[in-house]
Amino acid sequence: MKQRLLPLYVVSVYAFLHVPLLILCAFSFNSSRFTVWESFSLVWYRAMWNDAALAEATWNSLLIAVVSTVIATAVGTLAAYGLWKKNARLLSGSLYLSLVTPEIITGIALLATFQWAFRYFQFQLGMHTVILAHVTFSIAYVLLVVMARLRTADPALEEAALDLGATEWQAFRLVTLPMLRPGIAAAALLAFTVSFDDYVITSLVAGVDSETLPMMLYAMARRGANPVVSAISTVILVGLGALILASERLQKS
Amino acid sequence: MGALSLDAIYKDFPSHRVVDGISLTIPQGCFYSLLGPSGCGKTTTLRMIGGFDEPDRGTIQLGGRTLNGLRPYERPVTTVFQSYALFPHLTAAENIAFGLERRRDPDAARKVQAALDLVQLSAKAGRLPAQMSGGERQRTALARALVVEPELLLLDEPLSALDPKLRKQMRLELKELQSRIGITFLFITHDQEEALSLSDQIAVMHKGRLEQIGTPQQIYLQPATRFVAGFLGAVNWVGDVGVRPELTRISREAPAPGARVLEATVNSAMFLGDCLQVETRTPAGDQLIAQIAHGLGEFRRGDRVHVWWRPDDEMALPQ
Repeated sequence: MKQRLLPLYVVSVYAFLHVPLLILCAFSFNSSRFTVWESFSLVWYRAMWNDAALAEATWNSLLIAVVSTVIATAVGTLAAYGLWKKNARLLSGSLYLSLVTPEIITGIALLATFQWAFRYFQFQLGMHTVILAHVTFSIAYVLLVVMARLRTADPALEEAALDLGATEWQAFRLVTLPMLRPGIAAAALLAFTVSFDDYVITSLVAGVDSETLPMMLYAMARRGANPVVSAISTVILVGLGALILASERLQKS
Repeated sequence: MGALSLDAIYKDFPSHRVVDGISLTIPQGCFYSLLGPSGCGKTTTLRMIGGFDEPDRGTIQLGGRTLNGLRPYERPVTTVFQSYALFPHLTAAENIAFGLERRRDPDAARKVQAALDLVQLSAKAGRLPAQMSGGERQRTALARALVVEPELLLLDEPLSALDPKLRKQMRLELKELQSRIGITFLFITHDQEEALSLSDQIAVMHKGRLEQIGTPQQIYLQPATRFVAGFLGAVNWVGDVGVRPELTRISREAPAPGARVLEATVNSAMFLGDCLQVETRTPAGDQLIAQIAHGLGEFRRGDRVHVWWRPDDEMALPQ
């Protein structure tokens, strides 16, 4: 009895988790506009491909994700290294705060900050504010992943490098950085994913020129069931899924 | 090249004083051990010589040149770390070449090969640390530290990560290597057997201070303090007189005159393989242990015996 129930239970849990996504994928290949299966078709993928507004939103999302990932990865890695070197437990612990802060709060706080800054500097909501916002919330993810890698590192490695004649900079560049490389790559992939994904914070700090893919999807989905939305979602799902898998694999290596 | 001298070195940690006024001189070419229990300050002393920590007070000199304030890469000293600290992304040969490359040594390739030969690792030159055995890693670390021709090599418990059989073999190799190349070795250990078998000179450390400096024989046979006597091996104490169990004899009949004799009762007799260990108790309550060769009699709990030793074998501790 026990042996039969366990597989059944496991299948149910996985179904509960993944069936909605499978349904979404399935209907993206449906020739009908409605949620009734008609026949297999790539018509919605063709529609997606030819949509100029969609292309612009995708470009915006990619640009924001790449720029914020580069900045967040650089800053986050250096911060992780510094916190590890100084063994600053309180400071590293406080970083979790930004991970558990509700996104809507982070978004409102950033918006308030930007509006306050607008009084003194001449600038408007736009791509730059979205990128800044993404950098702020991505840094915590980068820190987390790089810190995890550092925690397993032997502190004597850098000392050994100094001992053999390397300066502090050479020790970092020739020993610590190569050792951290898989962790940094994993962190960058994760930062890219959370940036590309983000809707709540982005929608609050975006300007007229900076509509992202998630914002556009949200707007389209609000207007009712749309197989193009399903098609876009499927593409994003597969793309980001691959990134996450790559990130996991890198973290283990 | 020249002697290493520490002059009145002090180092405080936030909670306590770790090194409490250490002075010693290590002659050039010496195999010198700092021996003590964990937490005695020996590793901190080593780190101050290597340049990873700075003393609060006191001077460190090597061949007359003051090392205080110099960064690790400015000191003619290298270290074999307890964890070996091999660079995990570099092969054995690349690890060994690391120090030579920092010095832009034009002769690096030949020196790396010579160092690999020295520690018999030529066949494993292309291996990453993760693909090596414990002994191979230890030898790579040794070669990496020696190839830059330091004036002094620091070894931080380099054998402690090896299994006991390998440890004994590496001990022999280490001793042989040091006498061949003639560089001063400063060896840190908490293992008295290791220190006794390897060293020309031993400094015993306890609670941040030096208890005694001497040859292995002096340290073992004429300990200056009760701590040194006890740390280097088991001791039978009768008041302020101590004697090693392997120099303590036991017999049913009274020994010839001239020996120090106590009457005692056997508590237990244990077969230890290479000897028989008999535990006895005197009427005064002192516990005396004798390790005797096989064939010197059988003893059972409750037997009344004479425990004795030669006066020459006594440790005379200054009060």
